[in-house]
Amino acid sequence: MKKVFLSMAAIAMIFTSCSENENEISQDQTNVDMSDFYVYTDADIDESSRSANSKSCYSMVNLNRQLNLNPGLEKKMYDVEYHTRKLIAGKGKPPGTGGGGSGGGSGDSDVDVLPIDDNLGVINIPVYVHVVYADANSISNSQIQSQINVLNSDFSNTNANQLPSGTTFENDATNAGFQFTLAGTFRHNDSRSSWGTNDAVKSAYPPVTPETHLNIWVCNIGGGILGYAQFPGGNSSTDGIVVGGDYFGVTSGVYGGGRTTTHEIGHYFNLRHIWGDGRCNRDDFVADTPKSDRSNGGCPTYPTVHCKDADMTMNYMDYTYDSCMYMFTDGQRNRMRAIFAPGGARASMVGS
Amino acid sequence: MKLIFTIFSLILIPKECNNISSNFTALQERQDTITITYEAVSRGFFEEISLSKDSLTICNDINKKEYKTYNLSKENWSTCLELLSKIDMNGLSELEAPTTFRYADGAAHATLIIKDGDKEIRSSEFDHGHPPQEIKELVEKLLTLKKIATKQ
Repeated sequence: MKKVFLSMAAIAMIFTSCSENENEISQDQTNVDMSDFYVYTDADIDESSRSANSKSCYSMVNLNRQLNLNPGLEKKMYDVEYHTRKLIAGKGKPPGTGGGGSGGGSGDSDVDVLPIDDNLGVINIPVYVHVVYADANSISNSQIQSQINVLNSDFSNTNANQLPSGTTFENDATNAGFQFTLAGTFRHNDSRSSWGTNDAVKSAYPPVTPETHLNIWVCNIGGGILGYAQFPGGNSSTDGIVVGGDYFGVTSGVYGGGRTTTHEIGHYFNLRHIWGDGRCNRDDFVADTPKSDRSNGGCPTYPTVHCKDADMTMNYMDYTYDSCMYMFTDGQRNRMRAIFAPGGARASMVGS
Repeated sequence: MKLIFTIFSLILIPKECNNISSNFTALQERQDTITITYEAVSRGFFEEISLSKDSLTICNDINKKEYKTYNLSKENWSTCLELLSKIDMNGLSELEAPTTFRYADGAAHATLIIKDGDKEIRSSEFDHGHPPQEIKELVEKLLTLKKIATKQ
């Protein structure tokens, strides 16, 4: 008898451990469900020993390194996320599925999020650019201005006319409502040819008033990395984004459209990659972006299907070529703007 | 009682995972249909190292049009199969990445992909340069093989 129960229990355990690990989405809009939030992984304790052995050029960078250096950061990022969700849950009642979901034909549900009226108007972002090259004049003023122009276009145009026929994305394309102005350029002649992604360039040339200004370092990163960012809630001494000079502003080639900077500012404004950096059940915390389990590269043809739905490969937070990405969604807009609302992680930038 | 147990099992067993036997002998027996692939992707960066029984293929083209194929020695293939046999293939998709540099583009997104007959098993994503402990040896072996091949 006991044996049988034990076997049953064992089988039941196998069964549950194999079941899809879908996160349940809270039914109650007034409660803020944080159960799916992730910043950090448990295995990180090993990180110091790992990077000591690793010859990788990215060995010490980014979020986890920052989390290790600054134990309060995880809590801070949790708070940023909580604030974002609370604000969106309070102001924006997602209309649920349906909406304008006519196209597709594959039976996929089209979630339509409406832009939240946050009373912030067009948010102005003053930008400082730090050019760090052996010849710091190699990045011209007009190249810098071309980047500012691309940002002003990308963060306000829906570009819905560029969408291929058959998508359900037209009602998602958004005017994010940001404007960027160049507040100053700092040029540093420095012969270092590869700065990596460990924030070395920020230590060498610290940000200027990062509480009120977006700082962009333009330098050669190396290791095949075009640019990298820091999420809100991080250390102010490293706040900002880093972009390789070949991909900054309008240059040439498939990444010459200035959209590496658009993508990195997306992270700086709290956006995750559109596929959620994981499998189908990992979300990017945005309701109107389709689920996916991988990035897309190059210039994909529509539809590119992962996790049963067509991916939004034209979203700035995917990895496609510059000319093949041209939209943020309303959900991403709400998420980005939430950090500028009172109490938000970048609220101090508003009105400065 | 036995009857209940049998019925219970019958209901549950078909829902069990598609378990894949991964012991060394079993892998050797079907080695002709096994491919081991490591893929690292970021914007502007693409690396695919793919191993099958007698060849090593390297692709750095995101559109997967340009490949380079090299011979793979029996010893190297056998080593990789042996390393693979130490990995729980059914748990690959649930591996926890030790670092998260890739979330904000500080590292490329890496995946280990095992093709076994008509099955394709993808690991969860991890940072290029920081593989999970469980697959570290195999991943590092693949990267070493690539280094040696491209030096020649």
